[in-house]
Order: sequence, then C-alpha cells, then structure tokens
Amino acid sequence: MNKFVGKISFVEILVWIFLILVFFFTITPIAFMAVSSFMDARQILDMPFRWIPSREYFSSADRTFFTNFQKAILGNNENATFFRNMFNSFFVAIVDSITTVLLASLCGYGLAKFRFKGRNFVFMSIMATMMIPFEAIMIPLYMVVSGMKLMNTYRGLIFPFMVSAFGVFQMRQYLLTFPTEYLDAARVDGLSEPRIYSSIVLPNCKPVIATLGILSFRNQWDNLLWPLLVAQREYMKTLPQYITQFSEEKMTDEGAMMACAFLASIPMIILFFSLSKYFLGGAAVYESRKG
Amino acid sequence: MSGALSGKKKVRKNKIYSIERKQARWGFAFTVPCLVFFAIFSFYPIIYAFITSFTNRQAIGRNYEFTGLENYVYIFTKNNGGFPLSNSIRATLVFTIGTFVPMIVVSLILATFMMQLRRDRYRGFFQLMYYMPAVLSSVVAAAIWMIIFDPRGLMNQVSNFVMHTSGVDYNWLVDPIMIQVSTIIIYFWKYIGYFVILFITGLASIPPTIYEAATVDGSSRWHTFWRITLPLLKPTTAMVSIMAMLQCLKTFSTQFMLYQGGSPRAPIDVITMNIYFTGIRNGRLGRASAMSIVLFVIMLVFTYLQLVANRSSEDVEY
Amino acid sequence: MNRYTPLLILLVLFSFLLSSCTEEEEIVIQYWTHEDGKRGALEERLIAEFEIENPGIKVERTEFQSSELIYKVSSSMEAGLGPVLFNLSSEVIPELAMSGSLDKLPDGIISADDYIPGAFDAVTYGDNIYGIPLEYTNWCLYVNTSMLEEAGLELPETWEDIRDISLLLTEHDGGIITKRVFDFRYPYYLSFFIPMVMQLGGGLVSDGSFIVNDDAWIEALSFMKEWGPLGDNLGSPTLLNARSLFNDEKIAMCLSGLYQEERMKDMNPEFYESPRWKVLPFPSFEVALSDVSASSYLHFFMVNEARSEEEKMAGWKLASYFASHADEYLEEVGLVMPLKTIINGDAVINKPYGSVFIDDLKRSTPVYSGPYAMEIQDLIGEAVESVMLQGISPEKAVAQLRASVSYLFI
Repeated sequence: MNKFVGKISFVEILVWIFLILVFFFTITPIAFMAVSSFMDARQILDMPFRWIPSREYFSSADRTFFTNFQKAILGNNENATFFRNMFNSFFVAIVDSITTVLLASLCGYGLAKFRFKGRNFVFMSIMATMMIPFEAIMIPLYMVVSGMKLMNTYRGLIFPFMVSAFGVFQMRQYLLTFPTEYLDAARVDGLSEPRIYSSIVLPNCKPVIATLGILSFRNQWDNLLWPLLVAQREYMKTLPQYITQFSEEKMTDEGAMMACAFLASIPMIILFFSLSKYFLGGAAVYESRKG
Repeated sequence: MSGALSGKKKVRKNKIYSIERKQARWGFAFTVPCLVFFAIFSFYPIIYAFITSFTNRQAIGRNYEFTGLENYVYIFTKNNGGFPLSNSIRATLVFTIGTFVPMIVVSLILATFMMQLRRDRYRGFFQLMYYMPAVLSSVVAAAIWMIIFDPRGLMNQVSNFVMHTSGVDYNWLVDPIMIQVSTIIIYFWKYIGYFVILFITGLASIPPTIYEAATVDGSSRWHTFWRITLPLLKPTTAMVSIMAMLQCLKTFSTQFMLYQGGSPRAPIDVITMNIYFTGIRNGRLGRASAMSIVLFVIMLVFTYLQLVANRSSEDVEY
Repeated sequence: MNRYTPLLILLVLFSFLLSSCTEEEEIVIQYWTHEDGKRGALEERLIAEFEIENPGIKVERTEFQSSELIYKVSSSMEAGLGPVLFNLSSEVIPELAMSGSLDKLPDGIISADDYIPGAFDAVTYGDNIYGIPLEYTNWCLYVNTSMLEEAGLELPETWEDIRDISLLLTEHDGGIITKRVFDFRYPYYLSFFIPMVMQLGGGLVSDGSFIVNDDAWIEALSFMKEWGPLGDNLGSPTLLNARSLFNDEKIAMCLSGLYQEERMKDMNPEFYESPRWKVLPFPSFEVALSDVSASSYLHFFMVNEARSEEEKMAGWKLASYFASHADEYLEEVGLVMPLKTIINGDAVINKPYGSVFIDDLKRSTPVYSGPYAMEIQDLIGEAVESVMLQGISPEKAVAQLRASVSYLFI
C-alpha cells in the first residue's frame, strides 16, 4: 500500500467486498420480483435472464407493459377483489397491532410493577403459550371462533391475535427497569392507578410500543393460515390468500404472480422506509434491555 | 384518584396492609383483559389439544374415545402412513441446525464488519438493505424463490456461472438434499438482517474504552476480536442463538409452500408440517395433537435454556 | 391522545366480544364449491333464478381452491358448522359417509333412473344414497398437432410413442429443460398412474390386498423414473402444470377432461377455433395386458347431516335444480353429468372430439374411492416422486408403498 491510498487497509477492502456480496444476496430476489412483474412468463424463465423487460415480448396487441398488473388486480376469476382484500389486510393488521400494544402494556405493567397472588403463575402460563405452534391449536381455535359465529367477519380475523405473549413479555421486561419511584410519587400526588397507567406508563413506553406495534402489524400482514380457515368469502380474504390463489395448481403465469407479490409488498416497503428507525430498533429493543 | 385517597380514610393500623391489598387488586385488574383473551384464544385451545392427544379423535365423525397413551406410542413407533415423526424430528433438527449455525456465524461476522465502517451512514444503509427481506411476507418470499429455484431460473444460472459448468440442473426443488438447502437459503435470506441488528446492538453496548485499552496494549484486530469482543458478546450470542433456534423449530410456511409447488415432502417434512397434514389434511386429530405436545416439550426445553441464558446476563425478577 | 382513550378502546372491544351473536331469519344455504372456470358464472345465474322461484331461501356460494375445499369442509364439520351444501370428488366420500356426516338423499328429489348405471356407486352405502352427481370426468390426451407435424412426427398412441416424441422434441440446455413436449398430471396419481399400472396387469386393490402385482408397479415406476430428471429428463412434478401451458401453445400434449375445451375457448379463442389441436384416447403401453383408460371420477353434491331439516331440504332442492340444468353445464362449462340423456345424447358428441371422451369412458374404471383414498394418493405420489426425484429404486419404492398403505389400515 502506498501513501496515496491513505488509511484504507486491506482488511477494510475485504470488509467492503463481503458486505457488498451479502447486499447483493439480500437485494437480488427483491429486484428480481420488481423487474419480472413487468415481464412475460417466457422472459422470466429465459436463459440467460435479462434484467430489462424486453420489447419483443410486447409485440402482440393484447400485451402491454402493465398487463401483469392488470391481471394481478383483476384476479384469476376477474372478480377484482384486490383492493378490498388489501383493505382487509390493513384493517386487521392495524386493529391487531393497536390492541396488542394496549393489552400487552396493561398486562406487562400489571406483572412488572404489582405484587399479587398468582402473579408468577399468570406470567409463566402466558409464556408457555409462546411454545405452542399455531398449527397445533388451529382446530380448537377454529371451533371457538365459529362457535361465536365469527366466520367471515373482521372480528373473527382479529380476535385471536389481539394479545401476544411475546408482547406481554417484552412490555414486562421493559417496565421492570422503569423507576418505581415515579409511580410512587404519582400515587402520593393522588393519581388513580388507571390514570398512572395512561399518563405516565404508556407515554414512557414509546420505543417498545413502536416496536411491538410494528411487529404485530407485520405478523398479521403475513398471516396466511388463519385467514385461510376463517375468511371464506372473496370479500373477506386477505392479501396472502389473494396471492396464493395465483400460485394454486400453478395455473397463472409467473408474471402476474410477481406483479401481485410486488403490489402486495409496496405498502410494507413504504412503511419500512418511513419507519425504518422503529423496524430496526424493533429488533434491537429486545436485545438492549439486557444491556 | 380513589386509590390513594380512600387509603387515607382507613384506620391507621391497617393502612399499609390495605394499600398493598389495593395495589394487588389493581395489578390483577390490569392483567385481566389480557387473561380473558388468553383464556379464550390460547389456554382453552391448548388444553383442548392436550386432552385430544389422549383420544382417537378424527376430524370427521363425532364419536371418539380415550385411548390413553396410544397416540404417543404410535407416533414414536409407527411410520404414520409413510411420514413418521422420527423423520420429522430429523428434518426439523437438520433445518434448525443448518439454519441457525450459519445464521449466527454470518450475522456475527457481518455485525463486526459493519462496526468497522467509518461512517454511521454506511452502516445504516447496510442494516436497511439486509433487513429488507424480513419485511416481505412469507408468501411473497416463497413465490419469488420458487421462480428463482426453477430449473430455468436464476439460481441455476448463477450456480453454473460460479461453478464454471454449463447447463447443469442443480435440482434445487427436487433433490432431497438440495431441497433442504433451498429451505435453509430462503430462511437465511429472510432473517439474516434481523440477527445482524441484534448483534450490532450487542456490539454497540460494549464500552469503547475496552477497545482503546486493547489498542494501547497493541493487540491486533484479530486478537481483539477473539480475546475481547467474543467473550463480551457471549450472553448476546447465547440468547440470539436460542431465539433463532426457537424460531426455526416452529418453521412452517417455507416448507409448506415448496411442497405445494411440487417438491417431495419427506425431506422437508418438519414437525409443524406433519402436524398440519396429520391433523388438518388427514383428519387424525388425536395423533396430530400428540405430535404438537411433543413439539411443545422440545420447545419448552429450549425456552428453559433461554431463560437460564437470560438470567446469567440479567437478574430476572420473578 | 386523551388519557382515558386506551381504557375506552378496551371497553368498546369487550362489548364487541360479548355482543357477537347474530340472528338469522330466512333459510340460508351455504354452498361451498371449488374454483372451476366458468362454472361460477353459470351457477350464480342459476342461483339467482332459484332464489326467485323459492322466496325465503337465500344462497351463499363460496369458492375454494380445489385442494383446499376438502379439508375446509372436514374441519368446519369438525367444528360443528359445516356448509349446508357442498361438492367433493368421489375419493373423499367414504370417510364422510361412514362417519354419519352426510344427509341421506330424500325420496323424490331426483329420479335415479335418469342416470347411467353405476352413477351413484361411490355415494351408496347400504340402501342409502348420499349425493347427486355434479360431473363425470375422464382424461384424454390433448395434442397440439401442428407442433408434431412441423417435426414430421405421427400422432402418438402409446406411452412409448409419447416418450419417443418427447426424446426428439424436448429442448434442453445441458441438464435443464427449456421446453417440454408432454408431462403427466401430478399429483392426481389415482387418476392417471393407477390406470398405467393396470395396463401392465397390476392394480391398487383386489380382494382386500393392496398394491397388486409388484412387477407391474415396478415397470410403471421405471417408466416414470426414465421420464424424470434422473432419467431422460423429460418432465418433473415440480414444473408448471402441463394443461395450463397447453392453452398457450407452450407444450405439445397434456392430459385433461372435456372441460379443458371451454377453458381453451376462454383463454385462447384463436387456438380453440384453429385446426391445430386434437384429442386422442388415453394412451396405453405397447405391451399392455389390459385395455384401460384414465380413471373416471365423479363429483357429487352432498348435504351436511348436522344442519336443520329445512336447511337440508333446501340444499337438496338447490342441488337438484343444478342437476336439472345439465345441458347448460355441458354447453357452457364442458361438464358432463352422468345422465342418460347427456351421455347418450348428441350434445356431447357435437362437442369437438366429444366422442373420444365418451368412447374412452367405456374402457375406464372408476377412480378408487375406498377408505383412505386421499392418503393412498399421497403415498403413491411419494413413491413416484421418490423414484423420479430421489433415485430410490422402483423395487424399494413399491415395498415402502405397500408397507405404508398397510399401516393406514391398522
């Protein structure tokens, strides 16, 4: 190394190469989805793959640059429930993330800052539910929900995911380190317990709230199995269900499927870039608690 | 307001006692809304599943009887119509170990590398880009990768380029070994960013003064990493790997989507998938419930380990 | 945010939870069926007419993907809230019927004499009938004749012909298939693979024993092995299904039912109108010991035993209303109901190559619809795929299959 290169060392170059390689690994599939959503099925599986949608595939009159997106929105049987399904996904995910945050913070607060009989038992049994895979309790859960006549309703989609054991755990861990003196001071000032929760505890939990909200939003946005059971009408389905319709028996062309996947990802990607601090912090909060 | 005020009105002797009582009541009251939902949507179904595991219940048909441990004996000794639990445990362990070991190693390396970057901006950029796959839903991820793994897809082209071969089909979705590799790649791709961030947070919490001291001592970077960074990261590593393991044990959608795409089931028949097929598709609810209990026990062991690991780095209050 | 907002929201949520029971006045028939091209449009129209004729009855038609419908129906019945009316194919019926989940077909709803002999076999248990046939399907070989003519090849008659044509015309880039000529209809092994085994003298079940005649099974599996990526690499279960490629002229041959014609007409009318395609009988082996075509399967309308008498009656009424429009099902969707008037009528023959399907039906056997049919199909699939994809020897696969199938009956 001569002096001209300055402080850039061999190690640093290695570091950059490695980081950039992994960058390509994580980004290529996403770029592939974006590019191929404009392509004809033949071109997507062309060898070698060309990254620019080529003109020659748009020669026929019935194919334009946006044909895939038209197909994606109109759907397999042209019932055009795409936007309704997208709304459903949003609605369910938003309601669930709000309630998860509220219920988990309330419960986490109760478990972290109060002593009462059976507290450990409550905490441990909530933790135990984290160990059960969803597939295992799907049928009993389905019976509960159909028994309450909640099939094909938003309530049926929302209720089972309104609380999350992981959320309670996170909230509790966070609040364990919250100074109890604050709360005692407020009590001396004559604030009622609900008031302490809503005006002192909740505002001080903002980072966990953001994290937990995003986490639960993402989980619901991603949820496939439960809506498969509960939402049977076209207009009650959610986006993941909508996408699987495209891959069913491999009937549709890959182009429309990619277009559909792309459209479904856009809201999440926008959300991710505008709230990236919380997304990234989200992963970190859990870790940083243990210092 | 009532809490503190009404407390004052009580007889002085009982004051402290009654405040505690009151507090306890409030604490319980705060957990009740959550508990109601847990009771209906978690505890009840779990207990139901547990009871079902001792019956010969089937999805269709109303009559069933208690058969004791028969289901447990069956799933451990019989081949369950070609898809034995032993194979599922193997598939799950292969997937879990195959995913979490590279994931922990690579994300630790990436995190240390990213700490070497001179500007936070660069680090922020890489964090963002590595995390992006985690944002896509698993349905979307599976759809993309199934096209990439197609014989004519990108993966064969890249592999042929890298291996200097031409026109070799690496059978990503077909070969029993490759299909397991494929599921691992997909999972790795989706969650690597998440674990990188966990490690970066861990690394950031190591006080810089320790490094400075090391630099003064004249240790090499390599030396510093092995002797200082790694031991200090031990609690983080322990916790992250158990978290990763738990997540891997519960994997379902990646394998399920690939199977639906026509891949053979046996190599990727993880426990959750076997539960799904035995219970939902074939309607053997009793047997499927017994499998879920087995999975539950496996996960319980790992969670216990997690709690122990946690306790070693933080005083958990119970 | 108001300090009490969170508590208020919680309160609202709980009142939601408590008030989640709804009232129903009129009879509602939940009718669950699978996605089936233009059948949706036809049935929506019939339902509208039915509702006008029968005030007080409302029909809610729900479509599922065909693979989903089966477990949707069974899991909802388990929860005690299955649909009133649904349709399923013959191989899933035994478990439903034997568990008492199905309603008996009431007298006077339809006349069984209108149907061809054997039409109700799969839904007959004891003296009771449990369903009304919706479709009667067999698969034949669709061929894109222009693709074969271009290469100067003759139309295939046997599996060996198909393999020879595929060996000539399948395009590869090294080991990677870039264009296929024909592929099987995975994963419906009961419908196409069992007939292949039968052609070679084997069978699935006979006198209570399963996997009859190892040699036939091994020979059929060896053919599949040669076909797959480890052999001549002409096709694979992981590739795009052949019949959807056929409509776009991206593959020369595929197996499908008469309904495929309507889908072609829908998706590629120019191809449908052209003389570039033909339907041939289901192929056989050159050394075939018995003349068997693709297994025929039936879909039945069935009614959920657990519903109220009024609902069940309304469900049967709707099913028979559908059945009384058999002509339209044939004309618009290409579905054949096993009515004498349809099978022996001119409408089928007048469909392009309709007579090929009818002739093939005569040499077909009904698809296996005994106990554990679905699981057996999965196991056959596992055997075929292990041979094609994992390099297991056919001998070992047959032994494994027999062991697995016999375990089902323990």
